Amino acid sequence: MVALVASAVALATQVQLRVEPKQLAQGQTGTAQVLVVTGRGSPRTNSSQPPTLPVGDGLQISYSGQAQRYHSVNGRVTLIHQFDYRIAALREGSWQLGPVELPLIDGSTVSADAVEIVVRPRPELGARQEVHVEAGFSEETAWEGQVVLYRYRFESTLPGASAKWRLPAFDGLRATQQGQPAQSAYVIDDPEGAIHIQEGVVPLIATGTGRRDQGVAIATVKTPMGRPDPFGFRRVRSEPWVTDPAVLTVEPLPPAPDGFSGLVGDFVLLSDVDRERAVVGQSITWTLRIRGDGSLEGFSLPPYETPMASVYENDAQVSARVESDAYAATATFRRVLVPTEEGELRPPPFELVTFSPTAGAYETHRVELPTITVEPGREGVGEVTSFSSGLPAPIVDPTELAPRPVVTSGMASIPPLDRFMPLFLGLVAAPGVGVIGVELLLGLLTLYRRRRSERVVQITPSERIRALPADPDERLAILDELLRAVQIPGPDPELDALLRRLQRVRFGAGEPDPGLEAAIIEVVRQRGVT
Amino acid sequence: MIGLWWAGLALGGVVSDGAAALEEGHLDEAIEIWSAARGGRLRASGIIEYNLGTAWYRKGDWPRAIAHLRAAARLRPRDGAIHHNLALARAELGAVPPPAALPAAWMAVLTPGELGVLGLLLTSLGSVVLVGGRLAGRGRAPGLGLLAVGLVVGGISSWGGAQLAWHPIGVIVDGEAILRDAASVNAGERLRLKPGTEVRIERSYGGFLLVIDGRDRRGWLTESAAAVAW
Repeated sequence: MVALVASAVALATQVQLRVEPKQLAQGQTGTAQVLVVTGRGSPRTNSSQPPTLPVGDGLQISYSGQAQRYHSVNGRVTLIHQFDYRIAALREGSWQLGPVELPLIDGSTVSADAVEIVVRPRPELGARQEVHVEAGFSEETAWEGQVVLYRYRFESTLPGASAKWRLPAFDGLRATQQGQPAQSAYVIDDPEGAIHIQEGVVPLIATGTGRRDQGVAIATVKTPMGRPDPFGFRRVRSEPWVTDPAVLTVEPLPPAPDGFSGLVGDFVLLSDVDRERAVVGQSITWTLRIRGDGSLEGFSLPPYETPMASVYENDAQVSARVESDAYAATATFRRVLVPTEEGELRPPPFELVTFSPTAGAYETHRVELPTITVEPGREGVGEVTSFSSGLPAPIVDPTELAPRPVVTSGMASIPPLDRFMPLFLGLVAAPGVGVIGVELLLGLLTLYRRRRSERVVQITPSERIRALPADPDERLAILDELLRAVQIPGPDPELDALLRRLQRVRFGAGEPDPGLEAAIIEVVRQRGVT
Repeated sequence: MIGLWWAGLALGGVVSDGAAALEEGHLDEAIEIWSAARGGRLRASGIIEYNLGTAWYRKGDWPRAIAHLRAAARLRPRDGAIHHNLALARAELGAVPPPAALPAAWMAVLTPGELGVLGLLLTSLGSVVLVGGRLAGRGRAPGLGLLAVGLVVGGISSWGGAQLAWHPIGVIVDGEAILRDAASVNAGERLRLKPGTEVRIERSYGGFLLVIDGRDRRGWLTESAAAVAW
């Protein structure tokens, strides 16, 4: 990206097609991005519509969105328009995505080459296990200084399951400074249920030699359980899963030859000189590009000298990234050759000694430089003629972005009230809560009174018989009342006789009637009012 | 009460003094004036943080600019100038992990303080409607609803404010920071964070901060390695 932006700053509008990952399993989805980088004063695209991406039969592509952002390199701002697509791998095979062709407002067209995507067969989840974890190094044997990849992978058929990894301490290995660990998560559609996959790659440099076996990696697998509550939250079961230990043996490098650069990896060296004719004193840019799967941290080019010219170091850019299957480092060095004499400048070949883990031996990369014809410099007359009446106005780039100015006055921001919020809320809610409280109390009181009155009314005759007072007059009054309560409509000779006996005792001569009380209680009970 | 408090925090001439120094080309003096005017978390000002962020940006210290502009964005989330300058400062960085996210999505639109004021207003209104309904013999449902919503909103704002106070954003400044396995200089090195990396601080212990970056990688770093975006 940086290289693309850097080149766009200096050159015209550029377009790039990026696919991640370039290897997909059948049913897996990936992403594709079309990046349109517009530099200073470059023509823009004439549409914000997503560009059409031709795609092979085994892939399905759908547009998912776009975004714009600005990027600054050495103070120059470029516009990056990003179009995102989703790719689904339908059939096994090798398929092409692209090329992309984009018309610009000046009528020209920019394009990006097609990208090949390999679709592998659908992976088998061992006996349809619900959870499977694995981790280990990309190779079991490495050389001292080599970049090895530690991969970890979690597969599950449980919907919503996820894993959080705790990796070993990597004794005898060191994290690369360039090329951050990569993580990805995706879902593979399967007739027996989708397979959720999370995987990561950690690039490490082997610093110690001998057996460098690493301990287990622990994946804490979280699985949602049950149905979501009213707020949408679900209970989560957390369960640790452990991988096998990772095996690695690091071999020491054999005795190094003279001029060994310290680079360990399989590298490619490219050279480019920007001109083959120059005049004395003119700068000739010589670009050296190194690409490979080894670390380029702290690397600088070996010294180089050539007769008839001075050599100056210009700038260097080193970058690295973890791609789906490999660690890829790139370095670009620029040197300037300044011829000091006229004639045929024949720079000697440039050599770089590296150690190749694949070959298990030191390799010497050699690039030839072209012969440069150097002509004598021309002397100027030393006169400057101006056709302007004054200094020209500074050129203003409309795409240049400047920071917004500072503010010269204003109020303080609303402070966070988190500490005092319960107090403030309590104060302002107090009247309303008071009203609610009072009404609740009143309601409870009314309910209590109603219940109590109902309870009084509903005292049964049996209860009243059990609670007969000791005073004879009061007892007779209550028995009179109970007797009348059980009286049935119409003629009731038995009850009428008892009433007459009762009234005789209560209001007549007051002679005692020993069996009366028992007879009344018997009648009341018989009539089932109890 | 809140209004009085707020009014008491008016920034007076501090902002204009710093702006005048900046106008005269005294960048360091402007930074000094605004830095001195920075209060604690409870007296933080989005304008001062924005001005400090912009001044550090002009000075070329992108990580410090980002730290102040993140603080400004937290206090004035709807201010386009802050997001503009923050984007410019981020664009100056190399490859750094994505910025640590806010604890809740609504904080990109509202501050906890603003939400708290809204909660207080709704709760007050609910109280007034309830008392009025009691006196006038009307129904209680509208007042009860307002009171309940106000209390919930106030509770959410209180939670949000506490989250920002307990887990603020930190920005790596002054060079690469080593992320370690434990809060000790002898602990194993997990990875290195580049200047400008925006992390969320989980907690602090013995001069170390437990942080989590935008890729959910967690580890301890020394307190001096990060500027906290209060």
